[in-house]
Amino acid sequence: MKKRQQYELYSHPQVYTLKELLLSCSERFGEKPAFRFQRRKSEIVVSHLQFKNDVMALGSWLWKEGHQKCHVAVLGENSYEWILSHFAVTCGGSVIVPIDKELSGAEAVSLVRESDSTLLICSETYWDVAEQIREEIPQLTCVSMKEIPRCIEKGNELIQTGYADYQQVKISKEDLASIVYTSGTTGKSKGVMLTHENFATNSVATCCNVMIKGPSILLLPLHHTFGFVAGVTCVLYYGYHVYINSSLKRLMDDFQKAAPQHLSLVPLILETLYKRIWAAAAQQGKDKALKLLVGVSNILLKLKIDLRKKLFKSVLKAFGGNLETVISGGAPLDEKYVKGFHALGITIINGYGITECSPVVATNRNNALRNKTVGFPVCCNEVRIDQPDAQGNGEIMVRGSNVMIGYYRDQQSTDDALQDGWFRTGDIGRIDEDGYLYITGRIKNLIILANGENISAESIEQEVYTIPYVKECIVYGKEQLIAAEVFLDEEVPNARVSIHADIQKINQRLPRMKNIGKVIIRETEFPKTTTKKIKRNYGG
Amino acid sequence: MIQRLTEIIREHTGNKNLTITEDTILIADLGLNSLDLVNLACLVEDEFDVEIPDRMIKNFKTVRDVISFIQEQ
Repeated sequence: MKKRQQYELYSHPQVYTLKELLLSCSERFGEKPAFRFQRRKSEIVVSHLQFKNDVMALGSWLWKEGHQKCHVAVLGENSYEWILSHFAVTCGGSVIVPIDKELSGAEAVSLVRESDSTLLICSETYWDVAEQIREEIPQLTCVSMKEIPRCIEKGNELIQTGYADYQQVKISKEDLASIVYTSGTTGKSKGVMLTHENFATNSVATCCNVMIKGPSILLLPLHHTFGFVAGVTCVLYYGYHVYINSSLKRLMDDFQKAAPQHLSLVPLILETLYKRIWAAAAQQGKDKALKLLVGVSNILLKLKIDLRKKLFKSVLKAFGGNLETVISGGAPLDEKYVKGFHALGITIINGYGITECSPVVATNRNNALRNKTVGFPVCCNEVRIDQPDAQGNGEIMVRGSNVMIGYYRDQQSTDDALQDGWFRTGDIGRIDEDGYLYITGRIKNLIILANGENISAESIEQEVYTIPYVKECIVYGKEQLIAAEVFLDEEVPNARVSIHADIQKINQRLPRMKNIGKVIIRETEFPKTTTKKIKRNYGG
Repeated sequence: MIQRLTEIIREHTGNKNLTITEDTILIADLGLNSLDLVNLACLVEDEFDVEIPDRMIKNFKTVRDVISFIQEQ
């Protein structure tokens, strides 16, 4: 296959486990900052070497306390302690189970139970959830993240007295590192089993595709693999530091403090930031001038004259003044934002990933961007299109060292997803003559929100069907909202009026991310397949 | 209070003619996304001198929820 736009991959030392990745960063970058974050009113800076030492100390304490080769759930907002817990657990051969902090207490209980976790590390903010879980699972040990500095102290004392059991644990690339729960198509979460090799090789391969030239701010939730890999391990592996944003409320302040060169974001944040740029310009009566300047700059760019850093200095200052590249993933990003940011001097690198692939499957490359594509497959995986149609569109299949080993305690789903070593993504795409991957549709009934959240359509439809006069319903994503399209029993008086109030009652009991934002009433039944199922691709 | 909130939401959405009642649903009626709600929370914090924990923001579904929270503070 001809690949005109492809160029040599960026080179990095290969590692096969998270422990090797940690040690490699510590050896290569030593005293360079690895993390920065605010604690009360002061800023904390942790070097790569200090991070490794903290991991070893916390891990030694956990090991000594008897938490060996076990499953450990972690719950909390993004923090240094969250990341530290992940590495301390996995570098000792135990398995980390990140819990989505947006889940209800009952859902968190269910995941802790299903994952066979025996220890929960939880932040103070979510301690009430920890107590709820412990009530249901009394044998569970809970450690507060607030206690971690004390645990590190005790771990360091152990190490100083010659205790080396934890540090000597041999980690193999095949060892299970994490069980990450993701939305299943039927609404039941599935535990994606990811090994050390999955995480380590995906991190390195992503670094080979994308050049990072400076620090980053962590904005994505760590329980998502995209947040953990693109937001943390890739930045560390380049030797830069991660500024940990603990609340989106402080986002604009943090841009000033961190002055990032690079970000990993989901479309929701990118779109909102873009709209804010123009809203701020409009408020100051400068939107017309900015539009004019963009036009002039675009003409100059065609003449190979790049003055964007000077022309849009005040716009870029809002992002700290140094922002150059943003990896966008988790959901499709409208092309207008890619072009809009490019015009202002910020390069959007579109990528594609899925939790089952640890997660990065493909990314554009800094100097080989192609709009409407998600770029080239990363070097740790192969991508092929299954049974392509006349236009080359078919299911995207992935094979490589980043592909999960299966779903935890779910052989049927594992067998359905992994066939002859290939993972069926459930996404439809095609590959062009230059090797760029396009995402063109989905097989699975998942709604991908702009924040990257995957919502099972069926789980919401089940709720809508509890309204007795709803005869047929499908739920899909529409203009950033969840839309419920319904066909009603017209014999029920006022059905067309009461449907709106009844949907709001459903919204009250659903988590906000599953709220139905739009109700569409059909005049006729839905088109059906030969087996009388509603044709799903009708919607959206 | 509803008047002050209306002003804040109008400012945030840029829609000067927006009519808001206590039953207005933030996402469905105003078309706000989760990040807009975070921004709205910041504006409410400044206007009413309250602190809204991040976890609380996800519980705001209607304007009434926001008013109740402010009143409880």
